[in-house]
Amino acid sequence: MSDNEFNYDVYDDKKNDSFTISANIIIKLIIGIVFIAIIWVAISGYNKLVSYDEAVDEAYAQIQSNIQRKADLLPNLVKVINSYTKHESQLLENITKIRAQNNQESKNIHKLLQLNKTLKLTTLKLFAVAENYPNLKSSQQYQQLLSQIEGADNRINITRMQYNTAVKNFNALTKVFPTNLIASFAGLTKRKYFQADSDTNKLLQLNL
Amino acid sequence: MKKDSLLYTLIVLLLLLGGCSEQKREQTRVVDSANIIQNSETEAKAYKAFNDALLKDFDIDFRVITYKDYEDINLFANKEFHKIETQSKSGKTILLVINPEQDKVRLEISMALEPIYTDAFVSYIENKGMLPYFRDNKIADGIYMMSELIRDKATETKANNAFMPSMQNKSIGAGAKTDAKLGQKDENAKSGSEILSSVEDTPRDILEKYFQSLRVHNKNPNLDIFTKDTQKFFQTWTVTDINQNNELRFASHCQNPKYYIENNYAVLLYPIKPRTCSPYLFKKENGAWRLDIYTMSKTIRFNKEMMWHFDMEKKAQYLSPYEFAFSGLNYDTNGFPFYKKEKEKKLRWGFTCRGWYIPGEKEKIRCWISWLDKNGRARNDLGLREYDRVMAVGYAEKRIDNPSLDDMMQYMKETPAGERVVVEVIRDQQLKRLNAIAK
Repeated sequence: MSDNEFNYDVYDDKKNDSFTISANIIIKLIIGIVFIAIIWVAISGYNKLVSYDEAVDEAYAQIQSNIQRKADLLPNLVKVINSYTKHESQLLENITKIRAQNNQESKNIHKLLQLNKTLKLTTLKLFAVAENYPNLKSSQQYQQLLSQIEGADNRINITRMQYNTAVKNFNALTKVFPTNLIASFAGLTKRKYFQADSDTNKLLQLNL
Repeated sequence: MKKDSLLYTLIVLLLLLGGCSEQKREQTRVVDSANIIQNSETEAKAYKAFNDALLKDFDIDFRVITYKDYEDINLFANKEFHKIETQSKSGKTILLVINPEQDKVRLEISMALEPIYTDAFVSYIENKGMLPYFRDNKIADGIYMMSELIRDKATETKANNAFMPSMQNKSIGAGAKTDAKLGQKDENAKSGSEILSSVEDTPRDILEKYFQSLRVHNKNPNLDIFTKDTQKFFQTWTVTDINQNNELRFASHCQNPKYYIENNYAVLLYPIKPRTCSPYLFKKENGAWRLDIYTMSKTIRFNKEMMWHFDMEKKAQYLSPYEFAFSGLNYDTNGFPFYKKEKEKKLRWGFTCRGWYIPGEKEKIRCWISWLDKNGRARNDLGLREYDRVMAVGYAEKRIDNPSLDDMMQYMKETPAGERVVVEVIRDQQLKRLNAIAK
């Protein structure tokens, strides 16, 4: 038997080998890219969540600082009023309590809401006292304090709105895919809004 | 050729874009949706120039919006504030909002300006500075007064180096709101007790009585210490507590007055420097001296630094009875006075530069010759002419190509006497090299 009897096809394996190598590389590349993309989405999603969370904290701090600002103004108002009338010191005690409570560290939006409500009530009581003394109302000191208190009120209002916007943006992020997954993984939960108190539109009883 | 036409088109486009963006800024600085401001073109130009200066000198961008609907003015102001594309690089923006329907006005202050324009201060300048004009239905004047008061405070702050560092342009509700009282005449706006002038009173006595009326915010237009024309003038002129305080404040720094008296006219003239001490004019009527604020209002103007100068046209028309007191003065083209000898001594060369810039290089202001003293050395020795554009100064190692306006002025001022001064200019599209020996 000659060699010719052992005809066999000699396959040119080189071509098939390169095809296999290329396919392998591409698949690995794709997997790699997908993996990197997932990591990137996770990292950027997490970073975004954290920065939005910080924005909520910053906005909270602004409200707190403006409540403090208003609370700091009220003793001056009491002083000015007392120069015209010997008024009870109960209001001054209330103001001192508000300032102390506002200085506490915990970020509790309900407590802040309550503080703000108490502050409003106290301010209204002071204004009600001043109503009875036209000379007091027209005095430059009183007018200046009035403008500062109105300014503080406006700041509380604006920073409250800015806080709610920050909360809205953060909460939206905790709901949409894929940041909702990242949020639950990282333990970042929805924040509460600073709601307008339903009592604010009712007539407040003033104990004078 | 193609390259040239392409370059030309590019330059034209750049100029147009520059002009368009300038126009856009002009349009948005005052948004008068409620149509209450009604400036004349001259007033609008003056207002724009004033606010451009506020931005340039203090980086404060002052905007005005009027609107008519019933949205709360505090919330509206804050919302609109954050829509502004401020031109301030350091977050210093102020927004004035007026709503004639609600009859409210609010000034919203950015965080960068909060420590300067406190709520109490803003409330004060609104009530004492702006509202009197609003009550007289002079909305544009009230807004202009507000700009001046903002500028005054900024000047004081800059002098004390008290501005905050740059920050994001944001507002958290700082500022103040008040009732606008548009068109609601104030019964007490022209109130005040009578102050009499007697025949024994000298102009100095009359002036002291006038300052006393300012101290107590006496706004009675019919004071006996005023001339008849002045009384008529004050019937319609809005006077505020702040105007009166400011006049007293400036006057308190003025020393060494000289009184010039001729027949029935007198002038109190302070030394020319500081330029914030404007003259006072007096006229004898019915045997007694009286203050002629009417003629002062016609002829004397103040620039943004509160330096006084004459409106030269009005001076020629109204000031002739008082000219005897001003005979020792010369005036520059803007009406700023100089002592005759002082002006001659000061003019080493006798020329004025005004600024120009190449489009795209706005930060480099160059010099073109706007005025030459006809007897001056710049014209006669150096050979400069009006409209020459300075392209180079100096020579050899001291040469400066494309000098700025400041470079040119410094070079001409500091070249010592005896040295050669060289200036290259473009005149009628030709480059000319001029030189002279400095004296």
